[in-house]
Amino acid sequence: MPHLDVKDLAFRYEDMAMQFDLAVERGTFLSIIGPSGAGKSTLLSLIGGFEQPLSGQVLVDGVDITPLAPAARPCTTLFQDHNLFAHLSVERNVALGIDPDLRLSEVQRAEVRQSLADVGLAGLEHRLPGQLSGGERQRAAIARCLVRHRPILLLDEPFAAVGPGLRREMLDLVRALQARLGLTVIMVTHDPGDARHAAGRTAFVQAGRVVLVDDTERVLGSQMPDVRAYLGS
Amino acid sequence: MAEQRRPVIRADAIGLSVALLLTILVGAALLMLFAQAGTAEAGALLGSAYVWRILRFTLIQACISTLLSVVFGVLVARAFARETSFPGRRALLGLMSLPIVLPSLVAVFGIIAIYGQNGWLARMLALAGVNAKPDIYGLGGVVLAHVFFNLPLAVRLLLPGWHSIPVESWRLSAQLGMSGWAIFRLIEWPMLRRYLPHAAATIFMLCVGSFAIVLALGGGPSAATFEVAVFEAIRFEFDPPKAAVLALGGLTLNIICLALAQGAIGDAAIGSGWRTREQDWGRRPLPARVMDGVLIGVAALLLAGPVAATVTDGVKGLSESALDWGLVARATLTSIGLALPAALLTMLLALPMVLAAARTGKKGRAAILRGALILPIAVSPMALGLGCFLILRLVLDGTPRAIFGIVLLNAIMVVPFAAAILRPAVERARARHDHLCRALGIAGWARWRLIDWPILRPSIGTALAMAAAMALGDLIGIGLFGDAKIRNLTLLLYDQLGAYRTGGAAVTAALLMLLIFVLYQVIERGVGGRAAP
Repeated sequence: MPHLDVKDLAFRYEDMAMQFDLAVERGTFLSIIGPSGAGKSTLLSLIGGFEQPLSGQVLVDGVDITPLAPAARPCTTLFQDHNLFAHLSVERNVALGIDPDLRLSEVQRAEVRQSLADVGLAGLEHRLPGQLSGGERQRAAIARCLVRHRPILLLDEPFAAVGPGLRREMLDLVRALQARLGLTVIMVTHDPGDARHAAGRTAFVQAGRVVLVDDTERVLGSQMPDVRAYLGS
Repeated sequence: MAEQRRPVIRADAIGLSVALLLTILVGAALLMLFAQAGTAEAGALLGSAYVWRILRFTLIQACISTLLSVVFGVLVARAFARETSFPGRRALLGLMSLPIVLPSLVAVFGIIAIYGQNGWLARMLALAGVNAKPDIYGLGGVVLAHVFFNLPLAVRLLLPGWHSIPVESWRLSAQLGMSGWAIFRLIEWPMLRRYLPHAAATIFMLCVGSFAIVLALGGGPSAATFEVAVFEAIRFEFDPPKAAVLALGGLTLNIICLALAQGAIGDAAIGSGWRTREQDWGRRPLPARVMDGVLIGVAALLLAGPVAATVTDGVKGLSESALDWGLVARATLTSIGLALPAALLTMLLALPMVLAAARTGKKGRAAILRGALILPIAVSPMALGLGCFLILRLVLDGTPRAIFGIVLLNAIMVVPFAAAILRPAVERARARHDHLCRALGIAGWARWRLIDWPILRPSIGTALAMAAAMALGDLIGIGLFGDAKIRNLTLLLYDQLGAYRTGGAAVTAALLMLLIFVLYQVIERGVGGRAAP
């Protein structure tokens, strides 16, 4: 049984009808690539619970999570931007992942500090997001994902706003955390280079459907006309 | 190169000349006020119990009105932000912009018709067996009318705040399982801290400078603002020095409020330009949705009630035999005859300045132009009107003075509002086409005819329509300059309300509302063309 199983998930956005099927094994790093407007981010929103499907199911370990609110799902999403509240310190932003009313015990506080250290932000606990670089802001957001202890991490074009060098560094950080904690990671990206760097598996989404899922190198080397057209080769 | 630059400089020069002219005029009016005030016992008057009573009433009513408008405005704006799709949402939001063009006195009539001694509310209470005689005159009535005008303004100023919250924040709140209180504290309150000061300061300023509402509903000399006191000093006592001292008092208060509001406006400018998307609130709990519905319903009732009452009472009043139709017809023609030239003059003043402000490359010139464009707001209408009156008194007499003064005052007062409508369109047109026009050498008349006019036409139509609508509701100009021979619909309505001729007042109020509605549509479509919204 796959860890995450997306079954006949139907959704409509304006004129576009979508129908997704996708199975992901535990501990996989899956990149989702495809033309813009193909429905990559919509698929992630449906798994995260931010959009409601017309029909179909999202199963995690065989349990249907479709009726659950986003907070109750076994996944946590890192958005491209606006992951942090600008008026709260980095520490409090991470603490929100443990208690949205910010009432934390000493043990929980220690956990927040530890997760910040894990993403390389030790010593910056009391900074405001505006005093951090774009990469540091995303690191803080990843720290919050960690303290939520969800087995599935959803990344929606998470590093689109940082430069290429830094992007590799962030990907390596996520890969290291994934390996250490045994996370299942699903990352939407508009850059096939990200998928190649992350290795693992890749899904190609086209016109509201998952048309190909395989090891990343094989997807990027696929002779399917749609994939070739998208990659421009 | 020099050939192509010349028209740009000329456009600058026209705008700057207008700005200079406007500044000189306003400056002269103020100087005249000071000169007149100098002949009065200014110190004694300003220290008198009379002035302190005015100041006290002004501040108390403004504080209460602002507090109610803003608190209720936050709740209603929040309800509108959350309920993104229900039938009639657009129409209700459209209703929220009605008070911009609705003359204060028409609203006063509508409010009396609903909440007055013999109003709908009293009659409904009587049917229910409660024999209450609500007293609409005094502080309560003034506050009620101010909330009627400023609640919609608060909603319009605050709703963009909710739209500025990035969709990720709502998703985060769902992902982290935030309670309603946590959402307010962590997401909505930080936004409100940027938007509330501007909204509150703007509304406070409008309430402090309120004229027609306080005049008609204040109900006695103890309930007055400086504007009302100036009006009474000139119209009933004809004491220009006293009026001048009071006008300067009102002006000072206005400038203090404006300084506070300007500081707030700076804050509100931060943090715009985020991408937004309508949020899916489908899974919100039912009690919260019912609460939203109640809030929106109450706001709609508060706004639509007086308007509906004006229409039905107006139709009923038609059957009244005592109606002097000659009087009404003359007042209607006077209203139109004064409003249209005023609106045209507004455009002739505002457009060159807005164009020049957008095109000039020099910071100093742009600052002068922007200053001139908001000058009429800084100087309270009553102070400016009185100053103009005192100047024109030296050179003109009788009906020509009245016509000239009313048109001039109304034209100047609306310039900031017209500029606010024109500026975005002018700046957009410039950003899109300026380089291309200069590259192709399209300039001067050809540029205006081929490029600028077609793009700006809808905005010019809207600005002209609004200027005409605001001039139609004028009471200050006609009150200061009007003689026995010149009476527009607003003044007629004022006289009828003062004499408690309710049937006649109903017809006048309804007619004025209809006239504004028709004229607005005709001008916006006629001048603005098919593209007008």
